[in-house]
Order: sequence, then C-alpha cells, then structure tokens
Amino acid sequence: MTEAVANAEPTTTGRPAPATAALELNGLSKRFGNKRAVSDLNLRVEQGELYALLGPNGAGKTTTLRMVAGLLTPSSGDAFILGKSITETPGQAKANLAFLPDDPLLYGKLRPLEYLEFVAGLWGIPREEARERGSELLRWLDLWDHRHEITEAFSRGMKQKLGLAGGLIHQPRVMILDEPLTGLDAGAARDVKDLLVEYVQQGNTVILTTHIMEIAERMAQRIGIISRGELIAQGTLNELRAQSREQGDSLEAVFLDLVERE
Amino acid sequence: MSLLRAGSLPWLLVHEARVTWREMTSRTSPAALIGLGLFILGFLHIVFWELITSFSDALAAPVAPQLITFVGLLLIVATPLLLAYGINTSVTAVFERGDLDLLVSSPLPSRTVFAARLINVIITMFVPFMAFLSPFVTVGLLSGMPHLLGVIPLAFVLATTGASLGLLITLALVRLLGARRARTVSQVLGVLAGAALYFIFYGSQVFGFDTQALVQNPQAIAAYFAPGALLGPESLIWYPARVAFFEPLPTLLVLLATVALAVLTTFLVHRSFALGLEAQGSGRGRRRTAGPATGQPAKPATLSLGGETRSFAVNEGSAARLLILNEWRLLLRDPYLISQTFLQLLYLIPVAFILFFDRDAGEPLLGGLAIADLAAIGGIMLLGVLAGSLARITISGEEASDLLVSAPISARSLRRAKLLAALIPVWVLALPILLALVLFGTAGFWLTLFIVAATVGSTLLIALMRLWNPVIVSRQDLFKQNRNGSNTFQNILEAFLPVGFSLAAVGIAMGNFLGWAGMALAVAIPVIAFVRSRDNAGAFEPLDR
Repeated sequence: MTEAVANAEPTTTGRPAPATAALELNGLSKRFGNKRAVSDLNLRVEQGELYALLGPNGAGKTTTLRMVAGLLTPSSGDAFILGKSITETPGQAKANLAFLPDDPLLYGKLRPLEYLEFVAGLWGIPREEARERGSELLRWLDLWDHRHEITEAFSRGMKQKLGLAGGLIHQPRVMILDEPLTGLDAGAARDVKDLLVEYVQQGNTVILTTHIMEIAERMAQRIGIISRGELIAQGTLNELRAQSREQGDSLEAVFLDLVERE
Repeated sequence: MSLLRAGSLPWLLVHEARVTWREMTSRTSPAALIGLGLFILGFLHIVFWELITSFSDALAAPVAPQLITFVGLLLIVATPLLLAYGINTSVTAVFERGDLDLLVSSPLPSRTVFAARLINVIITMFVPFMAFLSPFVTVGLLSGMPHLLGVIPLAFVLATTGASLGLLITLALVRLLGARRARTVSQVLGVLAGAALYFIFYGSQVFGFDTQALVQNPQAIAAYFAPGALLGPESLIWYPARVAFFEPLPTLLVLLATVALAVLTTFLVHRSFALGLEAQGSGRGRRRTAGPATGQPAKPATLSLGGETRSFAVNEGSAARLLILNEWRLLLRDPYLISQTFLQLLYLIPVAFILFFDRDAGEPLLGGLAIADLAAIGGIMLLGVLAGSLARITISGEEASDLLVSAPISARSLRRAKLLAALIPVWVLALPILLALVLFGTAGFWLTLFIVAATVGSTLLIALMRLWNPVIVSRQDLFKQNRNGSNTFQNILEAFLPVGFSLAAVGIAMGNFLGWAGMALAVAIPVIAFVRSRDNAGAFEPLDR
C-alpha cells in the first residue's frame, strides 16, 4: 500500500462511525496461478457509506468484490461483512449482503415476481412477505406493467432494475454492485442512482465499482483507487486531490494521475 | 491459382476443419483425444472381432446372395436411424454454429457456404460410421479379404445420404414453419424417424397385421426374395449392400448416385439455407410489448430499504425444496430444453409397450434372456441418458449461479437439491419399468437385482459426474455441440457410462466377456471423471480460479 493510503483518515458520512464496519478487508489477496490479481488489500467501509472502487481494466476490482461476496476463495486474508467472516462463517456474512454483478442474475423463463419470490426464499423470507415486498419493489422500479412477462423478453435496463430488486428483496444491510450502470439508458440510470442514494440515506452501505467517474464523483462519500491489485489511494474527492499532482481538477484527472504514477 | 484461394470451397473447408479441431481440443489435449479415439477403436475391435471372425467363411469372396440380401435388409432397417442422425446433425449445422451469420453476410456465394457445411455434416457422420465399421477393414486386411474394404465407400454413402436428406428435411421445415419452430419440429422428427421402425412393427400389430408371425415364418416371405422376383438377388435395391463387398459396378453407381444427391441438394437449397439463417437472426432478441397497464397501483411514495438487521432464519430444507421446484418450473417453460430431454422418452415407449402389452415378452429370446429383460436393459441406457441431460440442465445450465453462491445456503444443500431435481423425474419414470421387469421378466434374482442397481447407479453416477465437472453455460447453448461448456472427453464419458452398465447387464446375463467389458467401463468412467475433477472447486462453491 502507498504511504498516501496509509495516512488517509477514513471519512464518514458525518455520523459517528458504528463500531462494526460494514465491510472490512484484512490483507485480502488473490493469485491466479502465477498472476497476482489482488495483493494484500486492507480496507474499511463504515455503515451508511457509499464507497466507490475505481481502477483501470484488469486492476482487480471485480476479483475483490467476488471474494467479498463469497464467489471466489481468497488466496490469503479475509473479508468481514458487519463483522462476520466470509471464509469462516459464510452463511452469516451473506445473510446481510447482496451482490449484483454487471450482468444481472436472472432466470429467463421466470416472471419478475416469481423471480423475486425465489430470491427471497433463498434468504429465508416467507412467501407472503416476499410477494408483498416484491410487488412493492416492482412498482417502485416501474416494472409493475411487465409483471406478466418472462424476464428474457426484458431490455437491458429492465433486467438491471429487476436484478437490483432481487438484491433489495431481503433488505440487506450491505450491497455490492459491480458496474451497476453499464448499458443503462439515462432514465434507467437515474432510477438506479436515486434508489442507491435513498438506500444509503436509510443507513445502509453500498460498495460499487464503476468506470463512470461522474458517478463516483457525485454519489460516493469515499473513493478507493485500485491498480494492479493494490489499493493505491482512498479518501474523499478532496483527499484524493490532495494526494494527486492534479489539485483542483476533476476526479478523472486525479484518477489518471494516481494510476499513472504507479 | 492456389487451391486454397481465400473464399474458395477448399479454403472454407480448411477453416471449418481448423475451427472444429480447436473446439475439440480447447478443453481436452490432442494427446488425450487421440488416446480416447484409439481406446474406442480398440474397444469396438474387441467387441466385434469374435463376431466377424466367426463368420469369416460366409464373408469370404464370392459372397453368397443371401448375405447380400441380409445386409441389404439391415440397411433398410437402419434407414430411419440414419435419417434421424442426419436430421439431428443438420440441426446442429444449421442452428448451432455461431459463425454462419458471419459467413452468410460475407460476399461468399451461398452455394460455397452451404457446400462447406454439407461436407462438414458428411464428415461428422462419416467418422463414427467408419469407427464402427473399422473392425471389418482390419479383418479384411489381415485375413486376405480386401472386398471387406467396401465398408469404406459404404460409410461414405451412408453419411452423404443421411446428411443430404437431413439437410433437405431441416431446411424444408425452416421454409414451412420458420426457423424457431423448425428447430424443435426437426428434432421431434429426428426422434420419430429413429423410433419409426418400432412403430411400424408394433403399430401394425395394433391394427391386426401380424408382422411378428411373418418374421417368425421366413418361408412365407421367401418367395419375394427368390431369383427373378421383385426383391431377388439381382435387384437394384440391394446395390447399396453390394457396396459393402466392393462389387465394382454397384459401388461405382451407388457412389455416383450419392454424389449426385449431394450436388443436387446443394443446388436446390443453398438459397433457402441463407434465407433460413436470416429468419433465425431476425427472430432473435425480439421483445414483447408491454401489456395494458390495467389496475396499475400507484408507485409507492416511500420504499423501505432496510436499515435494521434482518433475522430471518434460512432453512436449508425449505431452500432445497424451493430450488427443486424452481428447476422443474424453468424446465417446463422451456420447449427447447423439453425437446432436448424428454423427447428421448419416446424411445421408452417401445420398452414400456413390450413390458406391459407384449404377450410373448416373457419368452426366452436371446442367450436365455426374455425380450422383457432386454427391454429393461435398454431402459437402463435411456434413463441414464435422460439423467445426464437433466443433470446438464440443472447443474451446468444454472442461469444465476453467482446468486446461489452468494445466498446464505451451504454448497452441499445446493448440490443435493440440484441432484434431486435431475434424478427424481428419472427415478419416477424408472419405477414402473423396474416393476414390470420384476413381474414379467424371466431374469433370475441376481440379474433383476443387477438391473435395478444398474439403473440407480448409472443415473446417479452420470449426474454426479456432471457435478464433479461443473461448467456453467447458457441454457440456450447447453445442447450445442461446440458451446455446451463441456469438453469432448467429458461428453464421451457421459455417453459411454449407460452403455457400460447395459453391456454389463447383457454380458452378465449371457455369461460372456461383454459383461466384464461393460463392468470395466461402468467402473472406469466414474473413476476417470472423479480423478479429472480433483483440480475443480466443488459445484456451487467459491471458485479458486
């Protein structure tokens, strides 16, 4: 880790930070054969934060998130979700987590409400409650008119919104989203952004990756920059500017400067 | 001008050969593939050698007219199967190769593209035919009977005829029904053609025509085959059979007729081929329009998005039930997957018919085995294949594996649910067949016990093999030969496991070496699959790579 990162003070949303972090990474590493994808990653995201993880292609962002979600086994280190280890107690860690990859995890032959009931069932939510909450989510995300269609007929944006509804159906405390706005049109992107902001305002935590600097700049309370598997900088936008030679510039300029310096 | 000029037919064929080879060797090393091929050839030689050499006197030149008639009848009997194989291979060639959109949209003449694909189908069919007939070539070479090399042109004739007719039928369906429906209907036709012989044979009995008595009394039909009669030895109808014994004139004529059929097919349908692909492309990704917004409730003003720790207890048993029911629901909603799996059950109809309705099913027929026993043994194979297909759907066809792995359910529960989703339908189908075997079969206690154990064992093992080597792939690609995520080696292992169990049952019943060969296959295949899986993470567990 760089000195800048080591010295960076975690900045919270203004509330006193709860004792238990929403997400804590302790020396998380991943190797694929001889290739080092993620190296000794240490990170703490507080509850009620929206944290954006940025990095060039192949930097290790998705690998990191997939380890946190329990989809990849870390080579070393651990990830804790609300204090529960993903390697030691995966069931407890996952109970309050939702993971949404860039390609939504849907069943093409299910109708939206059937899909949401199924996802809710995986998290142990009773069917009646799942149906009620699923209907509420479909209305909220403007998918109610399409409730009788099977999801394979959905557009990319509709699939992304339904995936998001699947993530929210069990009311997780922590959401991890990999490129949540990829391929969405302006209207759908705005809906998703609004929902994420509201979700965080209700005390929950969002960790997302994105290539769209504007999203991170406007939405995230803190930003982490990962390059070649290492966290090279993190903090608020102002703190990142302070670490960069490009002071006063946009996040894009700061990001490019920090990554190029590495 | 170079023979391999870009855009020429030979150039396209070389390209197809290279792509096919790369696909075959993408997950299996060339050495393993060649080793497997040699193993299969060796196995076929062991199985057929004794049979062929025991008939060496009859096979010596000059071949008796009765043998030619017998081979000719065999070819007629095999024609529906050939057609079924041709249709199924054509469906793969027309619908399942992702490169056809590119080829058809290129300036290459559609005739060249079609001819290349037809030759590809011919080669795809020729290779297995030649493998099965290779023991005749070996015996011919080693025993000074070069006329047995006639099986080589015969394999070519069968492959070319099957491919041409298969493509003709498939493309005619595309024209009549459209690409999407044609795909399913041609698959159904393929299965029906395969089962046609049975339906003709037993179906005619239903209508009062005693075909079985006719076959059992050859004298009644001998007159049709006498010299000078319609089906006499000199009849043109036996010319394909004469190819098998390399008789020069029939071989030349039949080869010319076969090539003419292929050329004619190319000229007749190359345009439909391109049009069929366009229809296939235009049907893709079409979105349904939204239904009327009747009774649409107002968008809620607020949405509870959490904020407090949830305390739902995840019950692994109810989650497993949910998964099983979800699998069945998804399967029942997908006509393509149903056509790919449950169509195989059409072949179970003859088995069930024999077991439940054939009065003579209990009479000893072959090596002391009753037809009921043989039908039950055939049932083992079919149910094994069905279990393999269902396991492929439930395990490899999981559309949201990341969702399942990220859910708070143990991988063990997920695996158990997936296995049960694949096996419960198979075992429900197996139950009446095994019950009929116990009631009507003449097999002794031990053979009956073995058949029951083999049915359970082969279906369970084939599903476990899929679990040991899980490759997640899109449901639409599951049954596409080159995109189903499995490697060639795994597909061959899965195909041969039910064969091994069935051979073991036959061999044990008849007390010959086939039983040991079958047992060896039935034991070796799961062991090989398990050893190959050592580097894999378990299905629905976090990945290591």
